[in-house]
Amino acid sequence: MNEDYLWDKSGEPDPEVQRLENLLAPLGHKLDKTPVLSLPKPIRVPYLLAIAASLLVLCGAVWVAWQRTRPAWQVATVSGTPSLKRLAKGESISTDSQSQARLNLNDVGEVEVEPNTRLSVLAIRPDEQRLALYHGTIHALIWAPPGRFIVNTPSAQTVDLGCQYTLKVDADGVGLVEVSVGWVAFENEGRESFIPAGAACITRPGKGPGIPYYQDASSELIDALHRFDANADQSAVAVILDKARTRDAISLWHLLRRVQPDDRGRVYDRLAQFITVPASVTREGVLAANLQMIDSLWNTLDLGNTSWWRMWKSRGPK
Amino acid sequence: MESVIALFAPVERPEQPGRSLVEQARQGSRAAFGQLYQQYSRMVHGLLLARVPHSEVEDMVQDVFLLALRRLQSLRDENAFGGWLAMIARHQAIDYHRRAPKITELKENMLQEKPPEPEALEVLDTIRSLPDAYRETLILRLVEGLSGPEIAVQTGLSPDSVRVNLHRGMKMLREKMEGRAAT
Repeated sequence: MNEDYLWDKSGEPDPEVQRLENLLAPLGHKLDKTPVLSLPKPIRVPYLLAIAASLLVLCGAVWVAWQRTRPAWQVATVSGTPSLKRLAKGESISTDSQSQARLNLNDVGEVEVEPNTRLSVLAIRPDEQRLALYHGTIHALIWAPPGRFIVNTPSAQTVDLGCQYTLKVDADGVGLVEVSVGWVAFENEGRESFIPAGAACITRPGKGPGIPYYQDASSELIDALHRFDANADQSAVAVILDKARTRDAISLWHLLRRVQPDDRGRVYDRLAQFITVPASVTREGVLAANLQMIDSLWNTLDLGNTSWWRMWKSRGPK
Repeated sequence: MESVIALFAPVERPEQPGRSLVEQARQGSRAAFGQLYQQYSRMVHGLLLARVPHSEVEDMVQDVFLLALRRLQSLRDENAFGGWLAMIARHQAIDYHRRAPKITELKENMLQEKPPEPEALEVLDTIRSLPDAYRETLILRLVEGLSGPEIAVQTGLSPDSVRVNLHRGMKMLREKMEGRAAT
C-alpha cells in the first residue's frame, strides 16, 4: 500500500485506494449544487408536519369558535339519538324511526322534528330564517314577525304569517300543511294559497300549492278539491260547488282564480251566495280576472284585509 | 483506542487559512461566510455522512452552517473555527438520531440524479461500521476527496492523528472488505 498516496495523494497511486475514491466520490458533497445561503433553507418533513399540525389546530380552534358564535338553531333531543347540539346554516338533521328533536331559535320560534324526518338550515338572517324539509314532519310554533320564517318543500315554500302549524312531506315530495293558530301561505312560482287556522292545504311537485280547505269540511268536498288539484279534474268543480258551506268560501275564493274561464262564472255565483259582494265588484270584472276585484272579495271573508297580505309580500320574504 | 482520543484533541496552530474570513463573517459579511462554506462544507458533509443516511446529509450541511452563522459570535478563537464547526456537525448528527425521523423527505434531486452505486453504499456501510476516528477520516479522504493535511487543518486534529487514523482505518477496511468477499 502506498502510504503517501493515502496521506496526501502524492506518489504512485494505490490502485485499491484509487478504486475506492472513484467508487465513493459520487456520495461526496456536491458543492456546486448547494451554494450556501443562496437558497431558502429546505423545510424538513418533521417541521412541515409540525407546521401542518399547528395550522390544523389553529383552524380547528377558529372553526369551533366560529361555530359557537354564528347563529344556529339549538337542538334538544326529545327522544332517540340525535347527537346534534346546534344546527347552523348549511347543516342538516335527520331523525330515525325512534328519534325526535326540538329546535329553538331565539326571537324566531320552535320547531319539533318528528321521526323519519330530514331537515336542513338554508338561511339564518335577521330578516329570514329558512329551512328545507325534504321528508318527514315538523311542528312549528313561530313568534317571529310574519313572513320571516320560511320552510322550503319540494313543491312550495311555506311562509309563516305568525302561527302554529304542522308540515308534512311524503316520499313523493307531496306536502301537507295543517294550521292550528294564525296563518300560513304556500307559495310557488307566483301561485299562492292562504291557509288560516283550522285549515289545511296540499302542495304537489310540478303543480304547486293546492286549494286550502277547512279540516271540518265534508269528505266529498275535500276529495273533490284533491282531484281538482291533482288532475285538474273539471268534473270535481260541480261537487265542490255543491258541497261547499259558508265557511268554505275560502276554498271557493281560491278556486275562482284557478278554474277555466268558462267555469269562473258559476264559482263566482256560488261564492256570492256566502258573502256580501262589495259594490266595487262586478261579475264581469271577476270573470275577466280583475285582481283588484278578487282581492275585494277576499276582504269580505272576514279573514283579514288583502292589504295586510300584500304588505308582508312586498316586504319580501326571499 | 488512542486514535479516538486523538480525534477529540485539537492541536494549537499559529494561524489557519480561514482566519480573516472568520473575522469578516463575525462582523456580518455573508460573502466571507460563503467562502468559509466553500472551504469547509466537504468536511462537514463527510462528518455527517459518517453518521446519518446519505439522503439526509445535504440538507443537514445547510443546517450546520446556518447554526454556525447564528453562533459565530460565541466562537472565542477564530483559529479553532474548523474544529468548532466539526463539533457542531457531530452534535447535529447526534440530534438527528435523537429526533429519529420516521419519514424521509422525497427531494426533487432524488428523482433527477443517478442513484448511488449499490457497491458504493455497501462500502460506505462498511466504513461506517469502523470506530469513529477511522470512519470520519476515511470518509473525508475517500468520499470527500480531502487529503490528510486538509483533513487535519479543517477538523483541527493533528496531522499525526489523521495519518494514524487513515492508515489504521484503511487497513481495517481492507480486512472487512476481504472478509465479506470471502463469505
